[in-house]
Amino acid sequence: MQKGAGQKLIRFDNVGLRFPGGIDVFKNINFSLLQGTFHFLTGPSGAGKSCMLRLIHLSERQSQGTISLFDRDSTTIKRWEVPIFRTKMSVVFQDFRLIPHLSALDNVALPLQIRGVSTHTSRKQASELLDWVGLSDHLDLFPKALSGGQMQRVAIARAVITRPQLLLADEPTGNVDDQNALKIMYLFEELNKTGTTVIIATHNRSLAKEFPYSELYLHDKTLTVNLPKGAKSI
Amino acid sequence: MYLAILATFSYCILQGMIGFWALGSTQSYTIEIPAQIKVDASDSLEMERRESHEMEYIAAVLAKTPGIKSVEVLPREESLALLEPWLGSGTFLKDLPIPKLIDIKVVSNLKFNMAQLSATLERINPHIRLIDHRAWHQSVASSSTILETTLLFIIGFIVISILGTIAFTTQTSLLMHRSIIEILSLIGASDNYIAQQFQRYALSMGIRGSIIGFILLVLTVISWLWFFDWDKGASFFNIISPQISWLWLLIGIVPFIIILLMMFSAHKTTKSTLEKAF
Repeated sequence: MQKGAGQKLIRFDNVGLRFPGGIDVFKNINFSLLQGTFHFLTGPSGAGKSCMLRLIHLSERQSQGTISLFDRDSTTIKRWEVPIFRTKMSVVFQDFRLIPHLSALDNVALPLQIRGVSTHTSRKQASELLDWVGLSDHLDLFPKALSGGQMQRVAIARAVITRPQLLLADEPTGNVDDQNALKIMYLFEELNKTGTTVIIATHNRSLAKEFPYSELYLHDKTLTVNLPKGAKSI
Repeated sequence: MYLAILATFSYCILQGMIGFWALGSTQSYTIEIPAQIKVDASDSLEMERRESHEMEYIAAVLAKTPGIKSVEVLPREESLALLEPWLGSGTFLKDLPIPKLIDIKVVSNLKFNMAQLSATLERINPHIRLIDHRAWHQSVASSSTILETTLLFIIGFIVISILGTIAFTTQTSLLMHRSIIEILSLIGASDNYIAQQFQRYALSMGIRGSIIGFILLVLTVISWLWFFDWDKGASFFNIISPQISWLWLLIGIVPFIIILLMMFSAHKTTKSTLEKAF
């Protein structure tokens, strides 16, 4: 068992999100996730999956309810504390969000450098990770020279290099073929085995069904939790 | 940065000149003995005898006057050399009736009684003048104060302009690279980390600017010396250098302070812009 496993990492209590103009994205959402678990966040396009990830990543504030992150009420987190919380989690963005003037290697090494790791060490670790995601021949290429799938893998390598406690991935398989989608999922499973809590947002429910993990299904502004066969709780 | 270094350099030169003038003029006096006009050749011998007698008498008076450090009678050739820039070096200069000049250096102005000496000299010859250079020095000093203030104002203005430019470019750069700043923030970069990147950039710009500024200053000084007179320029620097030995450090210190201020400006602007816009 990993250190900290079984502790509540995220807790949503009656959480609602309303856009300016009064449109509710979702409301009265309740769930809690334990450390070291693996979850799919599914739902049709526009259901609010990305918004939910943004709430967890402190990029957005809920309109109602309470979100507890790492045992802290998110509304009490001050602006200067946000980077501290963000160092505990990583995000794989739907649009990759790679820095265009940095090579694949430097993009992956960047989160470590932000945390004060030396350039030499961070580049060495980034090189190993890119090798792990099958991009050892693309270290010095810039994002514009990479395909969608390759950028996706660079974004994943960047997200996991800090060994975060929580990994949020927004449609991580959206730009790759089925074979590569499975490979990426196996990467996340590997990471989960090291104790990282993983939340994968995807509209592809069939992909979620191929894995024995709980599914948080967002639809009609509410959330339904579907547990894998044999599981009694999330 | 070049302008700031040049203004600092000019300030140092000015300080050196003021120091040199002050050293030479505050403890120095000149006795001016008017020349006697010859009516015909037969006057010549009598006049020379009278002048020589007068000089001996003045020398005796000066020897008895307390507070005098040294007395130097300026040779006629040196007096003529002083007139050359205005009158040229024609042979007629030799026949000009020019006053005799005696340069007096005093130990200190407190020990030297100028009024008493002036009265004594007047008794010898009412046309003898004792010139006090302090009045001239005071007028030069007040003019140079205006120059000094102007130079300091220019340095201050340049510094403010540099800081303003840094703040403006930092703000523009932050907004231009908004998407990258957002990515950095999303992957856990604190405002401090982002500010440090801009601070580092300001440092590298400052160092580059200082190096270029120093190279341009050296070229400027060389071109000045080349344009005027190399030897006179070199001796000018030799004369003023002892007056401002420590002040030369300013040329190194001012760019260093500007670089620090640039870094501070970049850091502060980044943090305040991030707080407002992100």
